[in-house]
Amino acid sequence: MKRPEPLEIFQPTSLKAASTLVKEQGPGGRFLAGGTDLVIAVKEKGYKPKYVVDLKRIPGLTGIRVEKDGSVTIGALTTMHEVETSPVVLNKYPFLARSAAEVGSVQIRNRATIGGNMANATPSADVAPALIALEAKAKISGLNGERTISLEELFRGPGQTNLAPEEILTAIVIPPASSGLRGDYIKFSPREMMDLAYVGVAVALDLHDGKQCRKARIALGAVSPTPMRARRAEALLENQTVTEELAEKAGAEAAAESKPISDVRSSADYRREMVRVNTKRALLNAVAGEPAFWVERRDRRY
Amino acid sequence: MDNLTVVGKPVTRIDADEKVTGEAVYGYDLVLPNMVYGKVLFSPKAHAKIKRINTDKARQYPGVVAVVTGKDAPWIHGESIRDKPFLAQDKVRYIGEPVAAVAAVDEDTAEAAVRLIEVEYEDLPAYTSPEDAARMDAVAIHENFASYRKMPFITPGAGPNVCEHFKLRTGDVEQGFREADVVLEERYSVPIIQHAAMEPHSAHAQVDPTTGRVTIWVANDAPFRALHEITEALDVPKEQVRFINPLQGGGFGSKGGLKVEPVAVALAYKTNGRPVRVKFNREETFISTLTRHGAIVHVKSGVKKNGAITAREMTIYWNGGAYAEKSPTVCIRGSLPAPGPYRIPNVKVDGYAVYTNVPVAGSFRGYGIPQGAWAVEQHTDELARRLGMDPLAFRMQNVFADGDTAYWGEELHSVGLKETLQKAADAIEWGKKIDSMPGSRVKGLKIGKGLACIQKPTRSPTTSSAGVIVNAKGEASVLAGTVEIGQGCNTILCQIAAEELKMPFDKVRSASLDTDVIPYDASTTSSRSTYHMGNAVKGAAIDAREKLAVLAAPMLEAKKEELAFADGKIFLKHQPEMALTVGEVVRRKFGPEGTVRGDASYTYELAKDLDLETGHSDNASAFYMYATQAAVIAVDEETGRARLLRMAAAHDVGKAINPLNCAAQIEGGLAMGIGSALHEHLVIDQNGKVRNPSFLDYHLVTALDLPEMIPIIVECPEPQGPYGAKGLGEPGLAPTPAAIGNAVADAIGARVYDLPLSPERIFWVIQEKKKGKAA
Amino acid sequence: MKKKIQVTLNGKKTELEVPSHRLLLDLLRDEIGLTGTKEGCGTGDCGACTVLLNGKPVNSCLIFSGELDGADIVTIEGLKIGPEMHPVQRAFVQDGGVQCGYCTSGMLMMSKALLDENPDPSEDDIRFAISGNLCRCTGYAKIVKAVQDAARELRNRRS
Repeated sequence: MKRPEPLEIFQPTSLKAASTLVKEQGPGGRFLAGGTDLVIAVKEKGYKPKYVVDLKRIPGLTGIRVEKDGSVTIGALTTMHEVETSPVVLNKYPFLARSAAEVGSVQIRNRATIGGNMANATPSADVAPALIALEAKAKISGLNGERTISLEELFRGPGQTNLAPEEILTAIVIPPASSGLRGDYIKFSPREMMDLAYVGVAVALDLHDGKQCRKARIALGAVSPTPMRARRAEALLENQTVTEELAEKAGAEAAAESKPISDVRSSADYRREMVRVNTKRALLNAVAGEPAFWVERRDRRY
Repeated sequence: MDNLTVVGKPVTRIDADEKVTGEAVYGYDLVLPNMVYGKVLFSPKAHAKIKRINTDKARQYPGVVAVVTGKDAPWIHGESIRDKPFLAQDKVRYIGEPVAAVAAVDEDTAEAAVRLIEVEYEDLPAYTSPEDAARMDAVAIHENFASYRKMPFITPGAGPNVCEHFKLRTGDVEQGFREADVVLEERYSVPIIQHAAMEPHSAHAQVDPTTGRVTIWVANDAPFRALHEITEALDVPKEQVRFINPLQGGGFGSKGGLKVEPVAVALAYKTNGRPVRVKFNREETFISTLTRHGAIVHVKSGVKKNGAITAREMTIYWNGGAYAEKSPTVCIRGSLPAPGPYRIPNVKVDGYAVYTNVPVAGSFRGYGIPQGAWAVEQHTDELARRLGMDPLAFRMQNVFADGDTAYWGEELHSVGLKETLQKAADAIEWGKKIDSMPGSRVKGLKIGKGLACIQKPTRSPTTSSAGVIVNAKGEASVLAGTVEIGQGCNTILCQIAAEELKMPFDKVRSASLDTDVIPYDASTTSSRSTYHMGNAVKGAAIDAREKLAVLAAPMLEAKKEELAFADGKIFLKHQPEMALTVGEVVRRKFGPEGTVRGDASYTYELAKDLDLETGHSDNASAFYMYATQAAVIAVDEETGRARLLRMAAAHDVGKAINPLNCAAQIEGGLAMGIGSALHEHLVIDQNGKVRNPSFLDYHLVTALDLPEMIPIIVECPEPQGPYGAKGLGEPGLAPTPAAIGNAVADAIGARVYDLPLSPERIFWVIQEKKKGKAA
Repeated sequence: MKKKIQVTLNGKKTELEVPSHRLLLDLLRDEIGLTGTKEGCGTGDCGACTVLLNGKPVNSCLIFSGELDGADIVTIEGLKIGPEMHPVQRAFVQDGGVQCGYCTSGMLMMSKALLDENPDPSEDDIRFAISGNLCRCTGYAKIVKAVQDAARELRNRRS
């Protein structure tokens, strides 16, 4: 564990100024949002940024709003705590709110931002599977204007994204939700809180009459170099009624698709087993509907 | 014990105000005038020769005041075996061993400079398992072990890395196994864990350039023992070293012994009188301070159909790490009662404390008892199961009771064990089956109950001395070498002093700890303080009271025997209105700045030392603590995740001096025990590297991980203890993992032999069991 | 690289000249001398360094000083209400919520923030809120009780 070394912190007030700064200063810089990942990288991984560009003085990067078409835009600098407690998110995508509530601690969630967390591209990031299951898009600003890609495409590897050095992730956009949307996120970890996901499973189903699955999205965290979709498992569910037996089958398929590694937290074999069990549970939870209380949420994960 | 006014009452802690306002100054907070900042270079190798160290670049770095290596600090320390250099000498024995250190004008400079030190190593074979390192043909981690200075009771083993071989021999175990109807042999293991006190380690040191006198500011559990160890190493008289204890942010055993102190002293000799501060960050605390002994425990027992235990044989390998530290005494005091608090006619125990190339193991709350209990208390359940007996009934039949002679030859008294067993069992409705979790939608939940009991000795023989000073304002100050590490000793000792002086509790306070002025105390370890220091403070308060009575008698025109004390006053027994305040008595005799001081020492002495061949002793411990804990757990069979629903902890404390504090100790111990049962494990890979040196991956329990906890205080008085008190600090976590392990086994119908009971471990045990059934 | 920043620290406007890379925790402890805020891990995993930043509890070990211009910071030294202890401080004393005391500052700042937002928290709300504050001594039981008692006291005062 190291102490941070001297560095310059710039605080530009526009996206353009921020990108230009990076272009002028050259390689070795880093954007700063909440800092909860960046400071750890400096202290624990020996990462030495030459300079830091703090994005928090740029207006317009925070907040959650419903667009005219029913899609929801979450500004990149919106904190996890804001996502967790946002009435919009709680109402439309409760399991996304829950995935945000699973990140670190209250203190961390008051600093950590949804954009920072995505740009950091940790394979175990809790909100990533929930967002991917919702087919969220990433809005990116660069010196040559804006572009929008699917969030899934943003990730390239552990800690790596497809952003160019001067590009800034400005917002996450979640497409309009169908009235039959039901979802769940299960973080599987030994401790109740303050843990990294050993396995994270998010499911988003479009249910007809609360039964027939018109569309299924399953996204997994911590079991491959980037958060991933379990497409073969999704295919098993589409246009089917989600029964316990089918959920079991989809879980097994998702486990087969996952590509976990063994590390200090868990073996690859166990992670695969937990993908199987927790995918099944997330599917059944989604069909059963949302829990109301924290205790019950905990109980369901359990 | 009638008419107690302060003792036995749940008074609030005397140190709470300064702690809730942030005013309390801990070791980690301490700033000394003109100080310089130390930083250590740690070994990246588990076992290697040092070929070359080049410190030139570090020395030339602007702002550096001193650079030291083993050459500058040729001193060796060690409590029972002198084997540990202040800084590595010629070789390193674990990853995290201090190799060199820098002192500089600020922390940034020290950190930059220490990275400029170049060291060349030549690798040697490294051991992480004590069973491997204990082999006869193992490579010696300490080539010169034979020539090390050792305490007289040390009995090294046959293999080159066995620094202590403890033997207990009672009866004839082979004969006992022949008499048995059931013989069961099992192997259990306990991983290395760490104390993880919330305050990381640090030390400040200063050497007076004129006199050479060394002052060390450190939150150390045992300043007098540390003083002895460091003066012995430096080969200077005791008067040449002084320890000052700032406040301590938790200890649990980690802050005894010498960890940061040697480096701070080595640097302080080179800074021309400027004080040096060396702080370890959390990662450094994980890899370079102390751990709890990992252990491998083999246990074999014979039982008769009627439930009588005929024999027990145990072999225990204690993973001592690179240096002996407390390993020999953990091995002795942990192996001796390892067979458990049971009447067994034939017992054989071999305990081996083994050097390995992992971080040094030291004292840890429980001192060897949790490791033995993890094995023996689960083994006990397995024996009961094979006999078709209820585990509680099997224990009730076999546990120690008053008048029993323990297998080490001592006749036991004030044994509160059965009462703890019954009360803990009752608190979880023992015998009442729970089939499903109320309100849960999760299928495949299995609910189980389990309990475990322990007996814990205390370090004996030892001495505590204390002083009590009463001033002319009617206030008293307690001078005791017991270290306030969070356990509440200052409050307890002030309660005792207030009780004996018959003064209001809020007029009694503790003096801060400085070895120049505070009387001797052996250590703040082994749950010994309330009993030993409690007796000393009680004696000192009585001494002061007697002196005050002598002074007051002429003032009240009475005989000393006619006086009584109450509420801060001295008065005539038969004429209570004839009274003087205590302060007034002091003032009239010695003026407004005068004081009266009482002193006392308490020593528990052994009639006969431990017999090194048989492990026998007439009275191995000043007192014994007894405890039973009981757990209700739900195991999710699909994931292996276990969630505790309730835990009861019944502890025989002799007498609760402060019931609020006792409950707090029990709850805190339980939480730590639960952590060690379900989560904690310092993961060390085969190269000797700690893989999880952070709170992200070393999992302490959070507020959400704990079940309903029920602390139960049992009072079976110890005649020699103050007001009947025994001790309580350690047992809180000792039976916990075994109680939980038994509950898990009850839930899933299979035994888990290794800690921690992580979801993954339980999951694979369930899979094995399913396979076994299918086959 | 020193930077001039202006912050409100425990209610007082303060101008500081600090190295940008200095973490708020080190700034408070080493440069300003407010050692009530503790370092337990330095990596945001223990909560001992919790302070209120613009009213919200955060880990001061994860914040660069260089981003703090204009911030409002409250530390344990600023928790008292005038000369009086905050009810949550008094409850920790009364209920035995303090043992070694090293986690206490952070625990109190977190508890205060919880009670500011939620005047009547359930036991689970409290445990959820303080789950990022590790305590090695108490087993949390008495801390939870203290927060409940403080909540009651604060509600009584309001009504």
